[in-house]
Amino acid sequence: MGERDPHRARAVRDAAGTMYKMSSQWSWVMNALYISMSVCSLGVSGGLVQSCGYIIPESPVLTLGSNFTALCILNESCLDFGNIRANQIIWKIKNSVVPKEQYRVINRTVSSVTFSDTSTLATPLTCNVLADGQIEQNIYGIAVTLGLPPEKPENLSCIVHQMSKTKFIMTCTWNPGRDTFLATDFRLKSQWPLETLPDCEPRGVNNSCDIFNVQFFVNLEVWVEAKNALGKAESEHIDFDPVDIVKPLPPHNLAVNSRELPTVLKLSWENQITVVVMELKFNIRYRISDSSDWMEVPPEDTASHRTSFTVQSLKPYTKYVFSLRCMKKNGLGYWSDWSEEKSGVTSEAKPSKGPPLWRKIGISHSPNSWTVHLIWKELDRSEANGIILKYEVTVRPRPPLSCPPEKYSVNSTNLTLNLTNGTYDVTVTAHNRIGGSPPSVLLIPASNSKASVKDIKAFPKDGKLWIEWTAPDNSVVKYVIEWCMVSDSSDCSTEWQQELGTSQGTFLKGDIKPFKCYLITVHPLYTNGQGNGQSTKAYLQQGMPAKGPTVQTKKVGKAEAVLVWKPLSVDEQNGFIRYYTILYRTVSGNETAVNVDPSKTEYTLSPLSSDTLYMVKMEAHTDEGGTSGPVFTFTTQKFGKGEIEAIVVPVCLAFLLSILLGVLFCFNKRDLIKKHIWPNVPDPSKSNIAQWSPQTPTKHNFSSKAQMYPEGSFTDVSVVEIEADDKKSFSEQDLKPFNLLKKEKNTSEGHSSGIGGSSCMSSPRQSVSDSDESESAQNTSSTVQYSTVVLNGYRDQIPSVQIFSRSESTQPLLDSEEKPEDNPGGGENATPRQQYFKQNSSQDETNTDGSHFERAKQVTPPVNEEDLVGLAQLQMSGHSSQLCGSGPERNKTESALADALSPSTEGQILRLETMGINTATVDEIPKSYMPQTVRQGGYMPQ
Amino acid sequence: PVDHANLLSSASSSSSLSQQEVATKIKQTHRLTVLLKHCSEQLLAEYVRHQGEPFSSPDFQPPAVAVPGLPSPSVPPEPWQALSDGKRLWHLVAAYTTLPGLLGSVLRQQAELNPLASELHRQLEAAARQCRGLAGNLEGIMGALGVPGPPPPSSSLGGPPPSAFLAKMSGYHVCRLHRDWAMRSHEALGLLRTKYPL
Repeated sequence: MGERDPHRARAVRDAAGTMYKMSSQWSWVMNALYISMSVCSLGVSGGLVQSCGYIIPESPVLTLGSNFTALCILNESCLDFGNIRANQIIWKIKNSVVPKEQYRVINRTVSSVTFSDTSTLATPLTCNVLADGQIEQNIYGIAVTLGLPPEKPENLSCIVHQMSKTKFIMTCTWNPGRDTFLATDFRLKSQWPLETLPDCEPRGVNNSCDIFNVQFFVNLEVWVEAKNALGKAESEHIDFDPVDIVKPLPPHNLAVNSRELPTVLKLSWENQITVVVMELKFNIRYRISDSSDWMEVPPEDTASHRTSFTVQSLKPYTKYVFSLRCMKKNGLGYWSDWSEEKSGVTSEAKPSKGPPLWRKIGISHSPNSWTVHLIWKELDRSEANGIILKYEVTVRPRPPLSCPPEKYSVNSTNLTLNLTNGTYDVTVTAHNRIGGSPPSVLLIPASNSKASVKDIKAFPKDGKLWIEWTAPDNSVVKYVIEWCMVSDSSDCSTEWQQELGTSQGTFLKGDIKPFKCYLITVHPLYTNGQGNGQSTKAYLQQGMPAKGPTVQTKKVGKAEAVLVWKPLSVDEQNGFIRYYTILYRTVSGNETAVNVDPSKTEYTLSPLSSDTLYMVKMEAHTDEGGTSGPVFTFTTQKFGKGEIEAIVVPVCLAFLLSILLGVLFCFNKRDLIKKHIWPNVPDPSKSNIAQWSPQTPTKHNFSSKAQMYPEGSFTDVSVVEIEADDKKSFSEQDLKPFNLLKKEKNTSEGHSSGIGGSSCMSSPRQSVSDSDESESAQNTSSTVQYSTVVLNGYRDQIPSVQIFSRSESTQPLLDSEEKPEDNPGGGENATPRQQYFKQNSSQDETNTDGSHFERAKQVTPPVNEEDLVGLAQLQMSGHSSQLCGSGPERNKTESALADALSPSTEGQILRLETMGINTATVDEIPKSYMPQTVRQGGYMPQ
Repeated sequence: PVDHANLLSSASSSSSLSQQEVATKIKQTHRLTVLLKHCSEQLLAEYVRHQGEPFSSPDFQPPAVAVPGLPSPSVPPEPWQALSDGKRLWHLVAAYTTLPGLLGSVLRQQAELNPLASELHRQLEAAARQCRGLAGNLEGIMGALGVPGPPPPSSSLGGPPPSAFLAKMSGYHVCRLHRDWAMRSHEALGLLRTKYPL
């Protein structure tokens, strides 16, 4: 029993529509169940075999919200047997007891229950008794069906669909109203004036019905009747002739045919509804095949029944697509669907315009002609009016050229001409099957003297690149706009377009890419020339630069740094660089930004801290933003630009000044210094021997040579210098033999100067001039220098110096050695020396002693350092004594020297002898004995 | 439910019809006769096509035979034209109240004789419907014009014909009479339409 309840309830709820009958069956089954169960239960408890009572009404269908009363009537037999009275009856809805207030005991066998609102009811409603005052026994139960009566169907409307030529279906639809929760039957009723037609029963729906037997020209009255267990309702009646509500099939077998005229196409079709049923009117729509915008033939032109129509005012040689629809001519009923689309092409016509024409002047190969590339564009379909078969180009020279006009027939859209200098009218016409276009004219070369456009501007607009300009005052025939993409990687390959002379702005027609720089030039063309092209640059869309500039330092100072960078290439810019931003900071400090004009390529950062690491980077900014370049680091210098100089220069200057002062001091005190450093040594060249020595030069020379060879231990360091002196002195000696003394003195000065430079660190020239100045007193000074040479040579252990000394001094000595008196003096060195000293003072041959002394000195190879020091000291003492001007003291010094050199005295003596022997040969060359001597001395082996 | 009385359904309501409505009705009925004429010719052709020899031969022209219960349209054109509008309408209504029954009988016969000729069946059914509709329209016009209607029609073709040929023959006559009456009604309504212009 309880199991059945949900099904029952659902059946009740689903009552709307055809389920009604089923639910009725259900309730019958239920009742049977209740009855049998109650019989059974009573039979078990009371042993009865028949029902003890029943409920009226049996299985009621109730309107939701209405009131309801049920009676439970007990059988007399049960009264007797079970002692059951009506007042013992308990009403239950499902398993819940209905409150006693709703009961009423009519008599001892009848109890009633009343519900003021049926929506509280549910199935089953049962009548029960308490047998023996305790056990509840079911007597009877009923199923209650709740629902609503149907509402009046609204909005009934009908349409007749044409299904085929002869088949029509009328579909009527309506609004069925609220859910009744009961099975509700909708019927579409119809009748003719004198005849009721069969009802139309909806299949599976409750709001529409199809009528298949449609009779035109007879008024039909239709309405909808809705009916269920709780009542019936009827819609408004509508009355119509079905022919007035037809939606016909669209015309079919549409055909499009071109006519002779290039602007018309003829359409023809078949109507699918016969004219005896209705006459039609039409809508014809058409479009150019590659467009999606439909145009429509004026409806009044197609308001009559027809099966063909000629569409006019079409463009030549254009493919059009057509479709049409129809409806009853008087406007009643519905438009059909659009017919299938059919296309047709209009006939060809002459091209309506000449092709846009322009030129590029190429590089001329000769001065008298130039290459002209004529270029023109293909005509639009709308202008070509057919298939362009060829272009005809006419080149007509203007006076003074007198050549006949030349004609070319071209299939392509360019022509390259080599023209001699002059002015030409070029015309181009496009030809299709029907004829030629009006000519396009271009003057070549147009002088650019005419006015050009002003205020040229280019900017993006509506996703395209717009260029506008102010027209010149003169009337312009047309404008040619050239443009090209500026790029590092490729040439500026020019594209162009032509605009009317009246226009002052246009979109660039072409594939304009974003982030690319375009150079746009506007040329105004006049009837008799053209104006200079005016250019501008523009971007369709700007972006941030692809990268930032790479910044470097050009120069770093203490408080400033000069930054340099390479400007971004066009391809990297992605827009107009509006400014650069230089961002720099120390490792720990805040970043500082400086904006720099994009035209700059260098910037000086200042002030900066000295000796600090800076990080600098650079951003390039377009209107869309900036991109940063790599970071560059540099360290500022510790000292400023002038600081080191400021320190170093004064120090140097002070140093130099001090040196200068020292030199000046030295100069001023030179006499004093001289006395201390250079003892006054007699000049051998000024000895009297110089005057007579030329008498025996050959002998002297020969002997000296012979003497020299054994002394092979000498180096040749000074040879060149000596030669130079030699030549000089040679020539001079030639001229003035009596000047010999002076020249020799000069020679000695030359030597001394070199030596003096090293010793005194003063310039050689100075010393020369010194000696020149003091020429009058030369005898002494030259000798002093001479002796200095010797000293220094020893100190520095430079043998070459010793060579000079020796050779120089040797010559006169050799001369003097010729004298036999001198030769045997080998054992007694002291004596010749003393002689020399005497000779020096008297300009005598005595200087031979000196040479002897010198030779002795040099010949001694194993001269000890100590010995040299001793010698120097001795010499120093000698000088000092000389300063004092005492000759005898000097003699002592010489002898002391000889003592110091004593270890080799014996050998020396021997050599001296040989030298003496050789002197005769040396003397054979009288004039040049001095230099030769020097030379020979340089190589002379001892 | 309230039974909505059709304004044109009875003569009693004729007074309520305006001249305009009568003219509209006449025009509509005229259009129906045009359709009927077109369809009746098609029906006759379709009928003949399905009956085989000798009906389908081009020169099959049996003499007109009176069909029981159906007024003959064989009144010569001139006297037909000379009849009053009311009389012509009366004749038409008399014929068109009878024709649907006759056409129904033919349909039943053809359902047996040519069970696969569905187009013929459809046309016979449509013809019967058209005749009923025309009869209704005509009665409406007569009511509006104050012309008394004819008596109720007699029944159909009587008993089953003795043979298939005779059945086909009687069917042929019905279809041909239907066509003839269609022409007559077309003429009559054409005349009437000129008298009651919109």
